[in-house]
Amino acid sequence: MFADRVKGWRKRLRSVLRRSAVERELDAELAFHLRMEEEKNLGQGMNPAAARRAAILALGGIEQTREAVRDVRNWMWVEDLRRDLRQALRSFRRAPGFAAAGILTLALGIGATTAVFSVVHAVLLLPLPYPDPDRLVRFWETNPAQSVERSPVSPGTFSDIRSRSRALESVALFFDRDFLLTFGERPTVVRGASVSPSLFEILGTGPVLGPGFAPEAGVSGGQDGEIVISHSVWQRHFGGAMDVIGRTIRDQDFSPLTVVGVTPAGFDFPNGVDVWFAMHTPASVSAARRQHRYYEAVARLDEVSTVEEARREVAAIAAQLEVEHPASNAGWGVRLERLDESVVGGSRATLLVLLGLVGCLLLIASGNVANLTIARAIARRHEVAVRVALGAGAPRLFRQWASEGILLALLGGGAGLAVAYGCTRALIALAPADIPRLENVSFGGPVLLFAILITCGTAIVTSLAPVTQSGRSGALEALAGGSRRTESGDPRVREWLVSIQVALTVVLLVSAALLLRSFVLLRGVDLGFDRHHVLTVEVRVPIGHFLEETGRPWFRRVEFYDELIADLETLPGVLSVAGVTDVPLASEVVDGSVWRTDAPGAHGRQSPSSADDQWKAAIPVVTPGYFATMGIPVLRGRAFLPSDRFTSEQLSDPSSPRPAGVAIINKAMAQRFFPDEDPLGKTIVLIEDQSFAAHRTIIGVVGDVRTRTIAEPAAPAVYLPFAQHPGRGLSLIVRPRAPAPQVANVVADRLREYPQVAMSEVRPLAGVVGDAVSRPRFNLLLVGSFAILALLLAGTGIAGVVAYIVTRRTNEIAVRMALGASGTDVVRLLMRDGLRPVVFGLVAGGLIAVAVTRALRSLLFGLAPSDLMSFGVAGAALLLVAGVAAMLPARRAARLDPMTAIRAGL
Amino acid sequence: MGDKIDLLQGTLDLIMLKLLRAGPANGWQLTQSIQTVSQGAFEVNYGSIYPALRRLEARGLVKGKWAVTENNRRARFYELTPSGRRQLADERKQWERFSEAIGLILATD
Repeated sequence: MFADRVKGWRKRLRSVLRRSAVERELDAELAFHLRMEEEKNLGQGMNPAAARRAAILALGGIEQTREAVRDVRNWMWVEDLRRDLRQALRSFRRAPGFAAAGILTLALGIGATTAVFSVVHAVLLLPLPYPDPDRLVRFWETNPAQSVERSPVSPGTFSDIRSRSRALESVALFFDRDFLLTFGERPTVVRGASVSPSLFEILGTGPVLGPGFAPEAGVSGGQDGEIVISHSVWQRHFGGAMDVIGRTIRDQDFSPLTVVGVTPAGFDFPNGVDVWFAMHTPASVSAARRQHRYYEAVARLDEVSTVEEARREVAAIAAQLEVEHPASNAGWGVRLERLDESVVGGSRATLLVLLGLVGCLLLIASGNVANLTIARAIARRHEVAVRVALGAGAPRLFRQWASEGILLALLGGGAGLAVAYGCTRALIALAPADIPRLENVSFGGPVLLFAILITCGTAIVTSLAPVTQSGRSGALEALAGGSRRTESGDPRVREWLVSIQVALTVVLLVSAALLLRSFVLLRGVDLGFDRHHVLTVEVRVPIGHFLEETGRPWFRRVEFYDELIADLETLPGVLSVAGVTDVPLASEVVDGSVWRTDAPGAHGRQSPSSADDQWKAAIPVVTPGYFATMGIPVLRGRAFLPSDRFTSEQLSDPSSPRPAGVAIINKAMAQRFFPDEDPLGKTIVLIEDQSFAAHRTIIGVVGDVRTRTIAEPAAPAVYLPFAQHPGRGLSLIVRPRAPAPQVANVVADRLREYPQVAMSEVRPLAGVVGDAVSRPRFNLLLVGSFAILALLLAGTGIAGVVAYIVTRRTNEIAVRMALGASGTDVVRLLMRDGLRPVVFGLVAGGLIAVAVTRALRSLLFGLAPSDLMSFGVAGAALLLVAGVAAMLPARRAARLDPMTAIRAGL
Repeated sequence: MGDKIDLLQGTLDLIMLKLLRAGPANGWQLTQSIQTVSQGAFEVNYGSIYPALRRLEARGLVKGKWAVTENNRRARFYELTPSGRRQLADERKQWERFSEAIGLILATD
């Protein structure tokens, strides 16, 4: 009976696995049938052809018969599966604890992994939304000696690459910054870019409305005052009106800009800009301009070249330029990268590390569920023994366990999708702002496929795990064992599982410890200024206002900010107000080129003969109260005074000779470029300053301030007084008398009373700093959560194994206790055995962690991936949890009454 | 049309079981038996016995085995299993009760 069914099952399995063999058997059978029928027909007098035809007809067609048999095979298979799953569901209802634990654990593992993958997919795997994105590249200039890895390019380098490169089919420049535009009444700060008109062609995206820029617009100067707007600007400021082409927007100087195009929705190259201007790229570039490096460059490869070839080619061109123009290009190279890699940038390392670590969590969760299924199989050993004695076949039982494992995985996977959805929302909300392309995250095909794949993987693990326990001891032995708690099964599998879990947990713990220490170190960095309680707000005024009010816009701008700052300082609760063009850690840092007037070859506006004598430095422009308000120490000399200003004539008359001005440098600049001399009194020239001053005398040295990122040490900087260089608008720094939240509102209200001002939110400077650590904080949050979860899961697994050892050796424990062993002896014995796999896993995990945490190098700050303290802390945490997890069941065993235990076992 | 096929499936399975009760037979022999015993009344596709035999095999009611006929040809022979025998008895009883009931209903006027 059962044996027959088993044979039937085996036949079907064979038919599934070796389809062609079974089909061939059927063909042989049908061939015999037809032959017999043919012979019968021949015997009845038909001719051979008619006999064959009649035979096939009587059969009802060969192919139809094959089909019918195939259908039966498939149907039986589906029926069995349904029946098995229904049975598994019933048995889950009878053991809801097991089912719940298994499903939740799997949901956690599968959900977290799928969530991380969905982000990885959106950011790293999705191709860029431009046609043929593999052929798009970006290039920068590099200067290893000055530690410059990715510098904007100069127009000279750009046009030489354009004319000499074969591999680059077309190139474009762009330069994005904030623009101050007026759509209606108040001005608004809009992110925009000046671009070569060929940019749209290179990216394969044209305007959806309007003609766009004419291709010659960039070269010959074209039509000034043309602007292309983005889809969202079109919606937001023009209400999506179809007649937007030809309408005007006011530029910063109130000159009209004519809208000539609207880009498709979602197009925002580069960096999320909303408006585009055509850039003039002159055919020939003067020697002076060769040193202005402030353009970004993008290019498209031609059909036949590879990125590697292009890379070699531009490197060769850069070498040529070094020889041809040593003054501007000595020591400068060119770096070429694929566009998709440069968009993703540092996020790639972060995301891949996160994916790897969450994968560890998934494995640990699967291990736990495997342990659960094994424990369940062992607990039912008695029941199984009875059924086997009554004739159930082993394959049938395996099938039942396998289907339970599969059902567990299916339900866990389904719940996991819900968990994944929630986790993804959380991930996106918490993610640092500099992870690009997050808007692409969706639960589409590839993500679902991934979820299905890992669910299948866990299904295999969970359904096969109990199988490892079978066949070790016969049914008879199990029956003879009496109570359920008998020696049964092979502990080695469970111990191996625990070892693997522990090893993976160690990896997670070490990673978390490294990130934690790194984060703490990062927060502890001295930024160089005092950010506590200080507020910051961006204040921009279109220069058109200043033009309107007087004919001297620069001077008027200086006056305006003087008045504004004085006004704000009268507000109650405000101690001091200062202005700066680039708020540290918040704004982009504007770089410039600087040289000493006594450098060889430099005189007047002439730059030095050697490019090595030209330095890159940040050029923040500040008001006199800046250093005091920000708490930046003045190390030598003095800070700026209100008297450090140019007169209205000096600022407004470009034809008069440029006056000499003052400058303050930071410690980094003093150390790098005046290592053995006193910088005070030396004169320097800045290219970007030449419309205001002929040269600058250094009057002070201030402490370093971290401006780009917290992790990067301060770069050389030259501070200029705003009253001598009012070229850009300022952000204000407000220090209140005492910490008070309403000061922000008071300041914002006062600023709103100035109708010509475009202002941002008034926010604490500490918030800006918080943003700067948002990525390490994100990494820490995630990996820390993974590590804690892993610890919990591993702890449960360890407790389970020790409990299992206890039940296995109940008799032995009872005998020992009866012979005089104390409770502590028993506990010690059990813990020694229980912790053996833990120690093994700890050591193995430590070794694996040493290798694996190398990948974390780029995420860490201030410590190496082999940081001993982190390893130590991780190991200690694990041993602590493992010790507690092992102790609980061990202590329960020690409280056994030896007599009852022995009697029960006999 | 669909109902007719299903009915035929169930009854065909029953017929196979009955025919095999007499002893092992191969597929072709079974078709000949159907023809003989029903005196040609059934106009069925004789090919449909093969899916029927597969179903019976899957349910463990018959057992199939390759063997050699008297004419030295390889053919697949089917044999009733003990559970097949029991199933036949059960279904036969059910069928008899069913036809009795139908008969009663049709008989009353």
